[in-house]
Amino acid sequence: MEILKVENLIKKYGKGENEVIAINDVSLSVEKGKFVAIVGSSGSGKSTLLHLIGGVDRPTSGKVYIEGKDIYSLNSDELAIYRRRNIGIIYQFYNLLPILNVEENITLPCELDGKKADKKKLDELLKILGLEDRRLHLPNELSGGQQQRVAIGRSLINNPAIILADEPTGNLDSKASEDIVNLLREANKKYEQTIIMVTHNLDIAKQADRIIQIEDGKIV
Amino acid sequence: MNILNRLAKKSLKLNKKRTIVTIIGIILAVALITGVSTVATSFQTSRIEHQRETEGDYHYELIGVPNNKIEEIDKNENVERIFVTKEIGTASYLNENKRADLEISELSKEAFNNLGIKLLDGRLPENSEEVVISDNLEKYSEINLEIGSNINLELRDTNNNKQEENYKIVGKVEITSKSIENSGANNYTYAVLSCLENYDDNSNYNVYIKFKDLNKRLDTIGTILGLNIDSYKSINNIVKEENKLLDNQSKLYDLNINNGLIQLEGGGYIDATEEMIYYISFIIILVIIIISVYCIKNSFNISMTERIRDYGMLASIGATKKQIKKEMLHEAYLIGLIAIPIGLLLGIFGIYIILKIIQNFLSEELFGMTFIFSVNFVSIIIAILLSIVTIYLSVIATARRVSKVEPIEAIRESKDIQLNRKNIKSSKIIKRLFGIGGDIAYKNLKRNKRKYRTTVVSITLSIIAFITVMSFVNYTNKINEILLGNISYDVQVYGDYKGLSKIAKDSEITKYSLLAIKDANLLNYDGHVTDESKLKGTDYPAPEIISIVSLGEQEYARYIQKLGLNYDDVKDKAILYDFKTRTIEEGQKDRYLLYRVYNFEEGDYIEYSIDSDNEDIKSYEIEIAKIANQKPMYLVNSDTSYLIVSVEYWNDVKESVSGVDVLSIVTDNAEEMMEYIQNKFDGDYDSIVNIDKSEKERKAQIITIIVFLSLFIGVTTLIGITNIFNTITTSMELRQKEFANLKAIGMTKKEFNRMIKLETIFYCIKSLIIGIPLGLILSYALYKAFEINFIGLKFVWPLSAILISIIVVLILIGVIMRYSLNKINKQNIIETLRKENI
Repeated sequence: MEILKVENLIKKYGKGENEVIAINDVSLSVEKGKFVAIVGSSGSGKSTLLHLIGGVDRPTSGKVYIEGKDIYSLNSDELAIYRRRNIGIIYQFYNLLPILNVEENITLPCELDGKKADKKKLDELLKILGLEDRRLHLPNELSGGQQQRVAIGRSLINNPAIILADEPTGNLDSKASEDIVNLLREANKKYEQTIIMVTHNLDIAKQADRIIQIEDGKIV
Repeated sequence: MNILNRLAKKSLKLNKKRTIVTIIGIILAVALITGVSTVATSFQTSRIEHQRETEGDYHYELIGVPNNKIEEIDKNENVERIFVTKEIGTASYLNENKRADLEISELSKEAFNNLGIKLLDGRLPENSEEVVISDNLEKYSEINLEIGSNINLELRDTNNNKQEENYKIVGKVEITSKSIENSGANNYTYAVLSCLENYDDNSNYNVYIKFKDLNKRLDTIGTILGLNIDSYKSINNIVKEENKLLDNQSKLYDLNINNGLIQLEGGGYIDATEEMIYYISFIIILVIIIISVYCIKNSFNISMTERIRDYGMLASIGATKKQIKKEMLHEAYLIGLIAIPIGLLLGIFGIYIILKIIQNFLSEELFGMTFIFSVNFVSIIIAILLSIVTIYLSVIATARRVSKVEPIEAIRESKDIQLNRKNIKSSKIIKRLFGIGGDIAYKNLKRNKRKYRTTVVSITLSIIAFITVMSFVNYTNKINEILLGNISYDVQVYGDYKGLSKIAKDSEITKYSLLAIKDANLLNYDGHVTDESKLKGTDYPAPEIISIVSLGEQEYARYIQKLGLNYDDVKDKAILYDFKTRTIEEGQKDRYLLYRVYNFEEGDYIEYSIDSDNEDIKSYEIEIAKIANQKPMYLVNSDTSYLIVSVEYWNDVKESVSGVDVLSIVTDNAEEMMEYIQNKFDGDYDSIVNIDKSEKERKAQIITIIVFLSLFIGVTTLIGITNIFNTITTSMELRQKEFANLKAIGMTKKEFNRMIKLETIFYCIKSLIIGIPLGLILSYALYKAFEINFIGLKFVWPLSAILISIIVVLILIGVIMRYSLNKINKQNIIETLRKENI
């Protein structure tokens, strides 16, 4: 089943002389349950593509369908709600709320929805992520790898349709990187989670089911 | 949303410093607004109480009301209450060679309580054979009647029948109400008060009325006086209607109006002074409100902007705009919950404590009245609403700004800098003066307009406030001079030059001025009288009389030095002082006009003659050395203008006729000094006077206003400083990464400091360039407000205020920058760069 469809996506920055075309007419589709890696050199537009898919940035033109829904036909509030329920995003720099502890950061998407997190799922996640005894720690009490794991937990708590990971290991040492990728793979296998990961590291990319290469805003 | 509320609470807790600074900013602003209104209310209440205690707690006095009509008046639906007195008669009291004119009245108990009569010694009379006497009797005519003694008076009653009465004196009272005892400086009729026991139908009484509704008083009084007041209504100004009523001959009873109390209690008596006060208060309050509102808004802006990244993150994981707005509002709510009540309490108790200090440490004598602390709840509510609305609007504005940005841009904080590549060329001068650091600072300022605007506006507002308030103080002083004529003596002795000189030489008298004044006939006044002198209105001085004045050697020397004159140049000439103020009617309002009586100029000649005892009338001519715009000290405002001459000239011209010579003494204890002179120099003088209390009171009131204003200048400045501090330190903190970057690529400390210094200078210059002109505009607006009442007042450039602003701003910014620089320079470069990424 096609879970993601991107149609003629274009993203331009700036005006006139300064205009930069970050994404230049990209179209692709992803099947449910697949682990996809997007690779490209610096400035190729891979992160931009990911953000456009995730609805955290607006395209200049083009469409993105997730589970058949045209997400850019929604207004920003509807999009936000859609995002919290159906998309999980992991950034390179962990982007946790510094004032919330591990548990609170993970359950944030549910709370925003006004629902209490599924305790069982939470405990399970904490176990898998190896954060059980760090439940109540604040982000500044965690190492880089641990913070990233919290971010993964947050992206998984709502069983989203897809998870988007933007260079999740970019800021980690090799051991931590390995852990993270393994976790993502486990999520992919166990929960049949569709994952799209951007990375510039080919070794990591090889662990995915499919590699998409992007250069100068176009898929090669 | 529970999570949002929790988020708000946590964020406030974890960013303690930021939270506290925001709270302090709001507390100060709320305290200021509350304080202003509390002072205004307290002042108003104090004035009303004071008026009740001096003149009496009544609005109208009806004179000559027959007994059978009293109840009717009392029962009138608009009359709150009445009290009654009865005029018995007048008598002359002779003792040895002292003589005093007495006025005997009988007062009801309520009258004693409500006519500002203060019992000094003994007790109040309990029947119509007992009396209390006014303490002025002893003060001014030195007749000392003992309590317990009897006096025998030959009364002339209201029907002119003579009657002998014997009274027992049971007490001494201080009388301040003019309806009981009316006195000029030299002719006193002293009050003797007895107890009103019997009401009989053959007598007439004075009825003091207090109205329930002052606005309906004319209808009420029309009914009572048997007049048709419809014809008055067309005048449409209740005070003028009232005055016309006084003139009406066909009214049943004579009328005496307690204007002071009516005015204070809101009886529509808006004279030019009140109008001026309203306008000025309005300008000052406006300035205060603008600053307070801006400060609150700024505090919030700063704390919210810091968190844009967090809001972006929230949005990216799916928080709607509404949810983010809710979180911000909750933060604001929590802060407001703490800050607003504290601010209110601070404002109210702050004023309470200040008033207590004034009451305890400064003599009531000086201010002439006690300060009553009073709080106006309406204004408290307004202060609360104003703060809440401001906070709400600031939050909404920030929320809107955040929502316009896509989540990822918020996270990257990229939208914060609106960069424009165009037209930023490096300025060669700046590069040379300030190096590369300066160049970067210059570009920064040019491109980063919004960030710097906040700082500039903060500083500018403070400058404007400062200049405005200083101008206010300036004008108040000027007007004080005009109205009161620099009175700073305490006791005045009248007599002839010889006797007064003898007194002046006494060792107990150290600060004095001995004036010799003689009225002369101005012979060539025709054609030299100004138009303003001839305007209709209240009494205007007769220009044919002019007073020639000798100030005594010391004072004269001081005076001409103040005027910038040389003794030898002017000793044979005269200095003309002919500025006067008077009220003129202008449509519905009365205004004060400041004008010159004559149009003589420097170099003109004055011809005058002096009446002498022998029929010889000599005429003299004297050249005018200068037209003075300030009066010599110790000279009172009088009807005539003054020609001030040297002692030499005076001695030549002096006739054998004695003029009115005045010895003015400055002393700490006027009463004691008066007694001393009375005892020691009996016969050397004609009369001795304690200066008019009310003038001293008025001056004290103005001093009080200035004291409070200084306080407000202080608090406003404090708010301004807090605001500026807040803004600058935050912007420094936010730019830590930028600074670390610069250092990492090799900018030396020296260059870095230069960069900061340049920014400082730019802030200062920009705020001064905007702030000073605006301050001047407001200062001019104030001048216009004052001019409503004092036509002829001249605009004064607030130069000293401007100078002080410049210096203070430079110092202030310099200090804050240095403080921030210190903090920044201490940081580790790489850690700062790293910090951003976590």
